[in-house]
Amino acid sequence: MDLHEMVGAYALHALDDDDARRFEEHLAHCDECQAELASLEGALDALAEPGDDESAVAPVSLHASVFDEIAHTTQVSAPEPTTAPDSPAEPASLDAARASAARRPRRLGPRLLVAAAGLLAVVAVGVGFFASGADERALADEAERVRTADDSIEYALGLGAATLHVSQAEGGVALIGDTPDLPDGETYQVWVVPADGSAPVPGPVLGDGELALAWITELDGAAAVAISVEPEGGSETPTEVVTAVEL
Amino acid sequence: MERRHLHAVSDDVPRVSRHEPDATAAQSLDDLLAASGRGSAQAFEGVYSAMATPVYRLALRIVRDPGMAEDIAQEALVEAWRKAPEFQPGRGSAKTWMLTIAHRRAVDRVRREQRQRQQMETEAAVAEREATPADQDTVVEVDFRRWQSERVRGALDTLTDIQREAIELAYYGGCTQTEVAAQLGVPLGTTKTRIRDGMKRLRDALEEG
Ligand SMILES: [Zn+2]
Repeated sequence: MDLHEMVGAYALHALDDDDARRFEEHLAHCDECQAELASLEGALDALAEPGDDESAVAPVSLHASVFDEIAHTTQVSAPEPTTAPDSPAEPASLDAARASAARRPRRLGPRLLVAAAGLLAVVAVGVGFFASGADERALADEAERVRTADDSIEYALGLGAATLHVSQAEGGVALIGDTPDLPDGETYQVWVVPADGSAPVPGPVLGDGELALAWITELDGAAAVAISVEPEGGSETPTEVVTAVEL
Repeated sequence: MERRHLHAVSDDVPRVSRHEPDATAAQSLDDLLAASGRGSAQAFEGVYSAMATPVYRLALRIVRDPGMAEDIAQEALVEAWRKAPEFQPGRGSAKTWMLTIAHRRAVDRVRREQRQRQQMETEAAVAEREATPADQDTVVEVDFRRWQSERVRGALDTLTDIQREAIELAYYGGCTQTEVAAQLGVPLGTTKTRIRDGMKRLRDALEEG
């Protein structure tokens, strides 16, 4: 399923609600689609341009009905300025994630394939099956494939703005979004926690910030996916789990 | 012309930039909308005088009923006021921003009406099936071209027929990509691509012209 293909239809409001929602989720982290959409502005204005024989004008009654209505319409509040990487908001949520993680059990199993994409801080992969210089696009697509699979489930992580997507059909997990800043020398790592109580299976290591990453792995018998904070390069067993979701 | 007396369009209406792009007027519309976003109803008067007619016309093309178009224009203009604090002048023009709201509203209305009609038809179907001839749902053929300025028509003429028809059905007809595919008898995947390629080609043709 290639979501990029829907950018034109999206610009024309020709997506039904489900497709529009899926495309907007994609758009939020696809620079390419954002750029393409912005480039279509002139074409959209042109379609709205009045035709040569078009003489209809707004009825006089419209003015009163608009201004009567806005007299008691509350405006939305202006959007927050985009948070700077070192703003207090994100460390707070990492702390919160750390605090709540302390109370949770966890587990998970696997081979790996990893993706990091976009603008995106690419991501050293601790476990080492992943050639550096791999095609970022393919990797982002991998994450997108997991995210948009029919059976994909989205989990809030309580970790910055990052969400976890799990698809049994695609046999993988994707981590998409913005993770809180980490101190130098630390990194996040993904784990699959097996239901049988065996040791968590180490997954890819990832930096902080904006990312899109997929981990194609065995999810049969997995009880949870966990994210930990590790020393640079990752670990064989989790050091400090900051969040986990039960599957 | 009599239209001058019919509505409150002031002289600083940003004009279609066929002759000379009026950068100051466009700039001031952005400023007016930004000021509206800080709560100035007076600034919104300026926004209204520039945009009420373009918004109304766009709605009218899509719903094709003056009363309904006025309704939609009202909703769209009120929504623009409500959301004006979110308008970011650096990220697109006020005109596009407002026309997008109006188009969305009009398309939503068309789809809602369509759903209601289908529902009623389903309920009535059992009773009427035998009595009604099968060719009842005649599609009203609309000549979209009369809604296009010469400049835009010229640009649309550079598209393939499928690209152009798909874009017109979507934009003026309020059709979803699925409905466009059905009407044109083209697979959905192909339709998506035609629409996307068509929009890029339209963009390029307008830039060249
Ligand atoms: Zn995209």
